[in-house]
Amino acid sequence: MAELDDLRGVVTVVKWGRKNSLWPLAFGIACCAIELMQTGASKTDAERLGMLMQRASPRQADVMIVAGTVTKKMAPVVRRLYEQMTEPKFVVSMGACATSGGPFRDLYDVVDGVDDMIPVDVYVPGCPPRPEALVYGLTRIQEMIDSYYQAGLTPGGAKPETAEGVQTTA
Amino acid sequence: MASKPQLKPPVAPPPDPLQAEKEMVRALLGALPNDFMSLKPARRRRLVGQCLPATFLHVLAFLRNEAGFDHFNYMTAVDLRSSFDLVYNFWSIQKHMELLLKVNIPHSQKDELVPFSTSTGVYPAAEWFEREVYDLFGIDFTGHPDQRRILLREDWKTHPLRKIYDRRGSPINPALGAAGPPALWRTNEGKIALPKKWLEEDPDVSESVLTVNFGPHHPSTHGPLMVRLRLNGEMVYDADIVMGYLHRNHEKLGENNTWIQMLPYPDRTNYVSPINWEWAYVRAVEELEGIEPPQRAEYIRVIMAELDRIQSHLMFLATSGDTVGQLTGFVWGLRDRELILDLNEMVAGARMLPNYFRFGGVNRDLPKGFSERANNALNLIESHLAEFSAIYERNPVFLGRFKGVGVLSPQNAIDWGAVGPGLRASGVQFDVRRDDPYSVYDHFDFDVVVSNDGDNLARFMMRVEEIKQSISIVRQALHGLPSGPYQAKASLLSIPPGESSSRIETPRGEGSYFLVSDGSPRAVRMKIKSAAFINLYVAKRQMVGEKLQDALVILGTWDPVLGEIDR
Ligand code: SF4
Repeated sequence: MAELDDLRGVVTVVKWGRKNSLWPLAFGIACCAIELMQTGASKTDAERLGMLMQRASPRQADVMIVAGTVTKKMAPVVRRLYEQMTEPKFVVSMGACATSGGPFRDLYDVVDGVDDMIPVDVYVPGCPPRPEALVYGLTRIQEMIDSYYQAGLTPGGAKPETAEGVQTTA
Repeated sequence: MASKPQLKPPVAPPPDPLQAEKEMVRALLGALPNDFMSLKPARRRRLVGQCLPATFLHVLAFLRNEAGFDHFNYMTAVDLRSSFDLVYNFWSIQKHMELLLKVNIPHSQKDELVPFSTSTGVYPAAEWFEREVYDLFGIDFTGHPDQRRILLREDWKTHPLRKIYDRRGSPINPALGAAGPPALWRTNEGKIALPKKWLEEDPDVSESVLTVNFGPHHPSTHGPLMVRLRLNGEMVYDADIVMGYLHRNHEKLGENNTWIQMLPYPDRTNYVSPINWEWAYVRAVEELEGIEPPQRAEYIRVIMAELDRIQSHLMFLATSGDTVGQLTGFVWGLRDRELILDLNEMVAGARMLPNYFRFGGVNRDLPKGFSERANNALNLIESHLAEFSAIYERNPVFLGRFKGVGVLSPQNAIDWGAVGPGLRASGVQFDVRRDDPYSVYDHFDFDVVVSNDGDNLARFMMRVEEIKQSISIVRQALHGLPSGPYQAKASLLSIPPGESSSRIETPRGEGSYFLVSDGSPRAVRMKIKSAAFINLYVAKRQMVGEKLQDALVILGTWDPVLGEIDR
């Protein structure tokens, strides 16, 4: 078993990595998804923040960006994908639709805001939000992770990440 | 010096603009027994007819087999509170004539299924339209091959587009309608019915095939769409498409919002080509009001709509790259698209969903320096097209997936109702901009690109060539842009009663808005005829008999946009 002092370095790296390599789940539903794609493309290039924009599997993703209108047919799917993501996980609600139903509020098949089913960490307003706005929203998640650590907490409500808690493969 | 008085040539009576239409009406009615159908010309290249439920199937067979109305555009229903109007729209590719046929069937005001005969026996393309009408209006098409819900969840009990329901789907008068939306939608995915054919299948077959399920969350379905494939080895034995994951109820909204309030929504109907859809809506309202936008407005519209087409096709080039794992093409396409989004922002203030068109014109004039910037962007895009061809057309890996794969014959393309570049890729000459010209498209010199190959590559190349044509149209329009007002006087609230159906060549093919107005500030019915919807049907039919890995590439070449498909 490694010495505790050695592991402290690992914890620092994990924290740093968690903050700086947020992998979003490529989860485009509607119009906002087009701006989500532009966010990952050359002009805004969210990858420079360590966000690999093409994660198709929820198991490998840290952030779920709900980009678009959630309908009642889609809602359970959103919920299931959220549950499939591993902790710690974050949700960004992108655009008016995901936030509150937006222009499609109060219609028979539209869910009035995705926070009806899953907890949302950051809301990005707009219809659609500009890529810059989404990048700002994602940096807020990074700040959030930082502030958790500074308060001695673990983001996402998982077990406290003390040196003892870190699993080594050895 | 007084000049000699000149003899005026005799003034010929002005030619009747509806001459051809009247002749066609006479010919059609002459070939049918009396009182089978009433028919009259509505405007250039459009006839409107009415027939009785009893004679409907005869009329349909006559139209298809003898009168040459081979292309099924759309069908829908209008709830008139005590009866339904079923509206069918056909187009004759040979004769360049549109026909709108209406049948009136009574219904009790309760939410009960109303039986009517199916038209899928005559026009296979009606299959999904009828499923949609069954889903939203509760009309039971007897003899339909596969009647089940298409947009809504399987556990809905009601038909929410009926007038007895409000926009939330609850009955206005509880005595008439059933309970509203399903209660368990948050967590319960519900079951999705299998196609009738699969259920009735021979057990031997069912044992030897494997069902593979993609989506609704899958990167290559271009949005929330589910594809179910039955595989026999590597070959697709049958396919089923489950949509409706983005059914945002545009049509119900159209009946609840005022005309002017609906203006931002066409943008969201198809968010990849918003401006063309704005145009479709605005034109339908203008047709009701009978207003003509000034020339400058029309030119500006052509410029913006063609830029929009370029932008949408660039998106197609990008996503085609993504489908076959070619990420360079993906990023390049999105990079060039930004140039046009910047132009949108310059003109309308918003990058992606500009909400720029108004009834009778456009929101504001083109800003200073627009033409220069647009020309620069076009030059850049044009020069980049050569790079695209280097990584696509000269790339053996890409060609292997596209060339000679997914061939669609012209007959099937017409029968299944394909529109747009996909139809033209199969050698069928049909482009609304040329064959039923709207706005000022007849002022410009452009080619309708057609290919005879009908394969994936042809559909792909069609987009590349159309970008070139659009660039040329924009240049011509910028060059000849007339001065003058950019907005005609139009009423925003009181729209005269009547019906209208606009036709626009959107980047995915013909799109139209069918509007019914009773003179009130809201529409009685707003039907959106989506090009991607019917193209998806074609893709589904086409997948059968192909290899598994080709099925999704075929789907991709039809450029599905789920916002437009599910509406
Ligand atoms: S917020 Fe606006 S842009 Fe985003 S999905 Fe909703 S309608 Fe589309």
